[in-house]
Amino acid sequence: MIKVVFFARLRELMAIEQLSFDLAKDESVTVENVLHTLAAQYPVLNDYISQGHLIMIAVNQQTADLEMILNSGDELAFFPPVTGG
Amino acid sequence: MIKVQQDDFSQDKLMEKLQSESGNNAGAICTFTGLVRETDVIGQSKLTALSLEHYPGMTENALIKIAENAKNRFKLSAVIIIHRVGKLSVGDKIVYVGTSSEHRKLAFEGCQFIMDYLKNDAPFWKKEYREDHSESWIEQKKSDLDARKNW
Repeated sequence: MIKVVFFARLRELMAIEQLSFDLAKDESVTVENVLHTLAAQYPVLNDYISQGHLIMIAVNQQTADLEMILNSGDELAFFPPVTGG
Repeated sequence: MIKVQQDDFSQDKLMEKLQSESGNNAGAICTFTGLVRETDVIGQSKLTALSLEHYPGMTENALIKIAENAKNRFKLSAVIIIHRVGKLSVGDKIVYVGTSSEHRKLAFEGCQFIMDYLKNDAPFWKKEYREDHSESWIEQKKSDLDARKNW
């Protein structure tokens, strides 16, 4: 099972702070697989991607990319480009 | 010292802390404070509030990494980064960066380096609330991306 967390505008659009993503036993998934599955389940996420908005990725609080392979127990975060300071 | 907090901070107290952490051979201290402006990013409407969200854990680690890079690159004696989160009002302090070094050039450069990297790499997100009751998330600016490339 992977914990998926959302921040900022994505969190608001999804109306979800976090969800659990189940992995089948011995299943290997990439970040892209998870994003694709979630986009099919959540039309707002699909629209967000279709509109060309950038989605930044972190796995276990480290910057990651779509190709990264996920393991059970990982924390996957999706968020817009940052705007601190 | 690196902190992400809701509470306001005192620039006087942070200056004392910087001096105490810098040692007697630091001849220069440089500080930056970011404030909430009264006008929104487009420059058309007045703000009633600005809220900041962060990714607990990842944000602090990102700031620590930026501070360490700056310390090494600019031979800084001490670095302090304080960044607030939560709902802020116009005029409130948002962020503080303090650097110290033997001479002024490296203190100035280190301070700017930290801000340019923080704007691009630290997981914070800002949302504007306006007088007309509209609200929206601020988008990343190209000028911030360009500023980081200078380093």
